[in-house]
Amino acid sequence: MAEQIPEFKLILIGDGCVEKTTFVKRHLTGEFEKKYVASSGVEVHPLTFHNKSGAMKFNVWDIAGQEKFGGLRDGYYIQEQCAIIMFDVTSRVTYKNVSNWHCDLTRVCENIPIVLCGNKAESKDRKVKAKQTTFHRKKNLQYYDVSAKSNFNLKKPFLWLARKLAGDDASHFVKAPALQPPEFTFDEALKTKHEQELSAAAAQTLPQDDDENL
Amino acid sequence: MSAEEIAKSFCNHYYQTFDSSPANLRPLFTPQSMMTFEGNQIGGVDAIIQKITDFGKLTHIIKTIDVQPSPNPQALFIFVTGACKIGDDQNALHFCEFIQLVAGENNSFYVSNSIFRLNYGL
Repeated sequence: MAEQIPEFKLILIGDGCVEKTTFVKRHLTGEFEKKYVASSGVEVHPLTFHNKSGAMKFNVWDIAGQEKFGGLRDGYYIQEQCAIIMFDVTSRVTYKNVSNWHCDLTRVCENIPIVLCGNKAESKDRKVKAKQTTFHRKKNLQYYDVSAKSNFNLKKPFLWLARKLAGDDASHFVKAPALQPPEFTFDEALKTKHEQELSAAAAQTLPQDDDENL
Repeated sequence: MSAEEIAKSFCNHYYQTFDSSPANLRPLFTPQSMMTFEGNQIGGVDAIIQKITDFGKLTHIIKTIDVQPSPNPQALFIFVTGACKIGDDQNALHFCEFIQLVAGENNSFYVSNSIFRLNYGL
């Protein structure tokens, strides 16, 4: 009999134009096994990762674009076990809306691990700078720069969630996931610069903003 | 023209224009027009045009059109069901839309009210 592997429901949210679908489609295992659930209007991509103690599967709920019409209904969030909130580092408004997505999500799922991802990190036209990205620190989320197009940090959000869900901060993935080849080469100098800026920003004290009552 | 014919030709025009060039729907709305999209209420021609041009690429596929007269002899109630595809996504979402169409000057109709919902089991 096939071994039962632990499965986790993961919702991927964020504004309509941040390339959520591109991000999830880079993982090839999910791409072959994805299933469209017409009654809910979501495409579920099962992504399997392997760590030391065995395999685990994230069932990633990718919404079909209904967020363009208005907020998501609570039904999407019910029984979510973890989440990725995504914005586009080249679009300030998508970062501003992160607080709305976080608010909607945590209203239904009070205490689940959440990763904030800034997509399109390969872009030379970055608008949301590392030192402006403070939301995750106020709300205790994990943050990663990602680039779906150049396969940068595609695994990290899942690894962080896996560690939180398993309660094992030392776990790591032992097998590299199958990915589509990158469409774009992320400039190494730019990557290093972003990483330095991120760690510098993390060392800063949090600014006192007037959005504390979110 | 019968109410059915009006509703049918209106819907064909409305959804075709919505999909090809939504800004051209401007003459169909007045400053008093109201629209509710998935629970978000907006009013007035400018806000409506802003909202429907912000959707990006949409493709409506109409499945049914039902129509009833209103106690107001100038108005018609229309109820549409169908599917719509968002962007290049091939997965269609089912929708329904209620429209109150009112005859204005020169026998032209305008949309007084529209309520739109996606249909899914969540």
